[in-house]
Amino acid sequence: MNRSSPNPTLRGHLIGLIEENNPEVCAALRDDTSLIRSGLIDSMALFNLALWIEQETGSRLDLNTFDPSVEWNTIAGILDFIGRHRIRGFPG
Amino acid sequence: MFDVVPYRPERKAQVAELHSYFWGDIAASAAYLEWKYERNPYLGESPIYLALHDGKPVGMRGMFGSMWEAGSSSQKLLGLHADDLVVAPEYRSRGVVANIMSAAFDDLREKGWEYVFSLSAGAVTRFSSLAMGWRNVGPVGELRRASRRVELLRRLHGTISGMRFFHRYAKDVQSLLGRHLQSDLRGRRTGAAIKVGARVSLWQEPRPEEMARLVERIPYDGRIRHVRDRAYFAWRFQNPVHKYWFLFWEEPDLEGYLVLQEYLPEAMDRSVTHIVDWEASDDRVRAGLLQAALRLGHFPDLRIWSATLPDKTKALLETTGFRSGGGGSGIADQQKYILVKPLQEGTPVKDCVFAGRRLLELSDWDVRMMYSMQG
Repeated sequence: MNRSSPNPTLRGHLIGLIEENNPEVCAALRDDTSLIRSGLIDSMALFNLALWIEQETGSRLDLNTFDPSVEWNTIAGILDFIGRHRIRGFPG
Repeated sequence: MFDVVPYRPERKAQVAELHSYFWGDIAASAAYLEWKYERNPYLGESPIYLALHDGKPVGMRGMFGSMWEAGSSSQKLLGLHADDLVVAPEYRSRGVVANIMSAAFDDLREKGWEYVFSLSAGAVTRFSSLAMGWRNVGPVGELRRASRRVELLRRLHGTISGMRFFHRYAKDVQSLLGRHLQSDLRGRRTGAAIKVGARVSLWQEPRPEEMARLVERIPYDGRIRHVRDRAYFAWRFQNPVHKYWFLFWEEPDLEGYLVLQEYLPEAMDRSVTHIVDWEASDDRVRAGLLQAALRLGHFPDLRIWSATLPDKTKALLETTGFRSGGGGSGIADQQKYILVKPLQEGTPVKDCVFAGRRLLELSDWDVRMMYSMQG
């Protein structure tokens, strides 16, 4: 995936997942909306998001190697993270 | 947004009701909260933060007092242990947790607290915590010793359930399995001590004074550990939703102990037995206590935290059949982790030091399941 042109399907899936877990946040969602630091996504919704990201990257994530509040705080950040961590050749 | 307020005694019944989402028993929750937050040996009353909606608690997080020690002169650090995160089902994924934690951290920071610890978080709470700036020290290294009988019955049940002619026997196997899913300890009702070896006896009550004296007498390497004094032992084993058994090795002074624990509420996994603490004056006593525990009878699933045990003790566990828990890895790893939240914003990792020991470095910890409410 190219960092400057996020995969529109992946973005759609991501927004769908956020909507599914928390319908109240979606009206105001933009690519740079703060998701975690603002408290819009927490607890079970955040955990489901983490599992989805793990599935999309095709690898087990090491919790010591990144800060989710920084790298996953926005839709753009999450898509970028997946792009950087996806195992080469993983269909996603 | 939700209002976040500190707990007040007039909300006791409401909070017990909210907490009962854990195991479905309001009376058990009330007794548990009273023991943990009102009779804490270090703080007396420990803080609980509540998220309110229309004046009713819909979320909570408790912070009970915990006294840690480290270094050659056993320097003490009074900290808070975050636990009991509960959100009413209809309010989940609506920012309640973020609201509570943010208000709690602001309040605790203002009151001068330096660190909050967590040793009991499940996978969901752990991940939420990391996203809120907690630091991950590492996994507790849970080891399990599963009963071969139970494993075989589980496998047999799985196999015959899908078989054309034999599936009718699956119910019988399931019923047989059910009878093996509790340890032989659970049936022991006698209040008196039972001899289980020349020097070892099984008790149902702790001996806080002697246990504390033993801990004090054994050489201490200075790693970060919870203070285990008389007051702590006397309080710790009064947890009303756990049942404890104590193996004591005497010759004639107390030379070692091993503490076993099981859950009481039906909603919790009653097939599991934990070794929550294990202390001995030498390797011979340590090994003897483990052997005595294993001779007590059938344990479907015996578990211990091993991440910070000496290699010799880990080898001893391995030779007696303990294996890595296999609770998965990555985000969904089921085992517990040590988490630390420095309350002063922007504290660099190198500054998270207590008595010369690094709070964020697993090798500087001596952690036992008893320090966590898992045990």
